[in-house]
Amino acid sequence: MTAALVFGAACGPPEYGVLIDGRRIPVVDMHLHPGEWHGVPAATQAFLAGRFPFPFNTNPGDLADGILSAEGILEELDDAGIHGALLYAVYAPRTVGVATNELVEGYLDHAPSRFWGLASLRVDQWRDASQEALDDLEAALAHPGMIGVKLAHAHMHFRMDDPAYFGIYELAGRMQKPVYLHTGTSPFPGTSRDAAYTDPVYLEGAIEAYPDTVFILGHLGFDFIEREHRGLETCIDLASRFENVYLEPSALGSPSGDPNGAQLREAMRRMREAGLVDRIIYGSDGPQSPGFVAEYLERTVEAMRDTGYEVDEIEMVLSGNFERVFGVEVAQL
Amino acid sequence: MRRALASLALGGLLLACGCVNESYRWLEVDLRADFAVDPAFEDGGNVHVQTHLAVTNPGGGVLSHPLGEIDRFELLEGARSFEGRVEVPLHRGEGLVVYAWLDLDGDGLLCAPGAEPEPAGIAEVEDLSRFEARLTLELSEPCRGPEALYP
Repeated sequence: MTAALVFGAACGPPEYGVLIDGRRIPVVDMHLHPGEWHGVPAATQAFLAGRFPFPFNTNPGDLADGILSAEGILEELDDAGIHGALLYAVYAPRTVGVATNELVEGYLDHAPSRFWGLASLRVDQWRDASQEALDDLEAALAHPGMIGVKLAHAHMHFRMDDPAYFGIYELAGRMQKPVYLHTGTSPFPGTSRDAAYTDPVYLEGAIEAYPDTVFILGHLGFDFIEREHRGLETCIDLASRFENVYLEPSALGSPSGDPNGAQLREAMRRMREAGLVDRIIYGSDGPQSPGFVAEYLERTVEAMRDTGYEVDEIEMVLSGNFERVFGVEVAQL
Repeated sequence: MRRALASLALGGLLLACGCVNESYRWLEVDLRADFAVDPAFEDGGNVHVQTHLAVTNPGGGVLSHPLGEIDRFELLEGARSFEGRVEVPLHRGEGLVVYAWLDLDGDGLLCAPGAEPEPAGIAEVEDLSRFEARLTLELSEPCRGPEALYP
């Protein structure tokens, strides 16, 4: 594979996809966060502001609201040459904040040919209001653009193995909506770091109990505190043994956390060695900061090229697996 | 003279810093908590304790939520009670909840995959205005985190 890799042009109308060996491959980013600065807890605002470069950190709210808006995300996607993206609702008031299902629906209605969404739900009043929360989730999933469910046990504070919450997986399976799950630790203030909330091995009971539910293991169990692979082999083991398990390598290969790309290469190499290329779905965990979405795509493609992925395999990761798993049609180039 | 000026400058600096801390409010509560293990479980191993706010960001907005960890610690081997001072960060929320679980197998994990169930329990201090409280927690709920037991 020696041909040049060409990303979307920086000027003029955006050209979508990545060009590899003369073949243009469509890309879907399955992990983007819309939102509003006021929906983020103060401690996390301070944490995020500290990561913005000068001069953006002088007014982080304006930067965040700009880049997290529908137009801001579309701009980042265009700069990356990415046509379609999946936007996440989040209900994690203890940690990363709240981006409601209604907010995401607004983005989907704004650009229905570019955006899909993952709905979520509150779990912090589960003993008293679980049925109400599940009803709200089911209603959100009725929106034609809401194609799955987003969960993050560490951010939302509930154990991965507690059967009291398994109704979420039952609902998702019944509605044929894949479930994306954050796995691994998280650097945000207030996040649970206990194993039952972060280690994907605790998901095995749910994965086995709900074979009709698709489980997408986000971040491959990466330890974002120590910045090292901790759950990668567990994720690979689960995907090898259960056909309803998929893998998503977002964020762990970010320029700040993985400056030389070694962590991302290791993940891509191990998943391919395990024969799991048809289970990998590309995501970045952007937009984060201007240019991140484009850079993460570039780094992921480089990691795949460095570890021997064929062009057909790269296409599976960047859009083909997404299209098959979520049952949607990705715009052809 | 130079030392006096330096002290004055330092005092001014501290005064300025003091303003920054005006929004931080702590309530000190002398707490005694006793832990009773349900007879359905073996009584062995150490008790792990977490203190939580009852509500963080009270007021009912989207960022208001139950619980909010203040501190966590492990009791000495064999101890089934705790007595000490808890500092409740009133600038973060209100109320005081104590959660505990029994580490029967000593692995530091509540119910690791494949391990025997370990019991947990939770209790809320009813009245913080007395600055002291006494609680009894029954450790009887297998493998439950605090969020699954409260509210």
